[in-house]
Amino acid sequence: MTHDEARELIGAVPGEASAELQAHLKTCPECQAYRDQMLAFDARLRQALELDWHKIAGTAPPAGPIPKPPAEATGSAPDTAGADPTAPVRATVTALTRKARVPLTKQARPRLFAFAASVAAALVIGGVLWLSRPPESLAAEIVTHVEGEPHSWEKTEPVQTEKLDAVLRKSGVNLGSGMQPVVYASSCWFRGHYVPHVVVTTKDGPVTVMILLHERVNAAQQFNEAGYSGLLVPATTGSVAVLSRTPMNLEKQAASVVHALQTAGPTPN
Amino acid sequence: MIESGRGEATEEQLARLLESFRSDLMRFAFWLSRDRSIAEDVVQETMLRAWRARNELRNTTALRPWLLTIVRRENARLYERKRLPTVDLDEVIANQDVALALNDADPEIADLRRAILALPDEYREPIVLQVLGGFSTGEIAKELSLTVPAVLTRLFRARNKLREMYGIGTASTEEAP
Repeated sequence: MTHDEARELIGAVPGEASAELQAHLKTCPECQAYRDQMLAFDARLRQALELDWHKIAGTAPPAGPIPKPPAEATGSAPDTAGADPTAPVRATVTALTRKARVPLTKQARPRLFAFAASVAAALVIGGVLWLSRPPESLAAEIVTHVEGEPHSWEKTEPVQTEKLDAVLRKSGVNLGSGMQPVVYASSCWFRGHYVPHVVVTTKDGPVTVMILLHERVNAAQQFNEAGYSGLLVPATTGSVAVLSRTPMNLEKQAASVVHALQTAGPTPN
Repeated sequence: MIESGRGEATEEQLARLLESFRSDLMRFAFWLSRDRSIAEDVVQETMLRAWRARNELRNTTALRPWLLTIVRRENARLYERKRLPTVDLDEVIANQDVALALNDADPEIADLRRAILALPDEYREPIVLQVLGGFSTGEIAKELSLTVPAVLTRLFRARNKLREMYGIGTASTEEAP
């Protein structure tokens, strides 16, 4: 691989390095330095792209209501059982695109207006219902996220160090000592950022930990929702959320994570 | 019921999940369209389409890339349908909403945001898809109907242009594949 080829690859996808590129980087300090620069630049680029939308829109989270058209307006869905999990998603998008490009006939227009009217009515009703709900909190979103990964609770084998390091590195997190053994580690998209979502084993059962560098809380907050007990605590940078499905001392678990964050060295590269 | 990993999500859970993505989608739509009103329209339409197709969604782990794909296509379709004129960059930056977006306590971030807005669409779109959307090179190629080498070239050039505008030297190799 030549310098030019290496730099083109680094410049296009700084975060990835094929075996061939890695071999080149080992023997080429200039290209390695270029990659380090690009990785640092990409971190700034990500920061620049992650706008605070609520500041621009002048609204407080959460934003408007979820559109909830009535069931009869949505029609019945095709049977997708047994299909590739990604296939229905792609198929749906394609179908929607095609459907919107079909020219409307005169006969179709009244039906379209009727549909639009029913959607508009549903939006109004949905909006009223939504506004009458309690505000969505960080804790509720954490629970919703954790509910989306139910398999994480079943893990018992320790996660390989390389995998854990990769998950932490993606979010710019480093952990020192004091954490319980990690049996699940995933880099999850949460509120506009990749955050480490790990599960540790304790004598009282598994505990989910989410390290939220971008979510500040002023004081510890306990919550109980959907069968989960949780605790959200402030950390030096952002906050830490811990959740369990069984009663236990979550303060101790949260403290061990905060301690691990405080005793960490530089973020691994 | 919709599968969520190995479990199932109720409609209420899906609604909450969709709502949790709203800011993310707004941000994404804004960088694509460079216009707050258009971004809001695009996201509202995206939410509506997602909700109508909820019964076809079998796995909520694929929800985010699915929503982002709809946002991108809705944005493209809106421009195509309305024949929106190409806007002048000075007008874009003079827009009050955009000015708010550019503001940041860190002046370097504000400069970088200006540089991103100034990028031509052909470079801004792939870089936003990659960095903000988390799309792979192959996924970007498929979405933009380009070859993977063409996407790599655009991404390389986009970063070089941004670094130039941002005041950092570019790669020694300007001639991308």
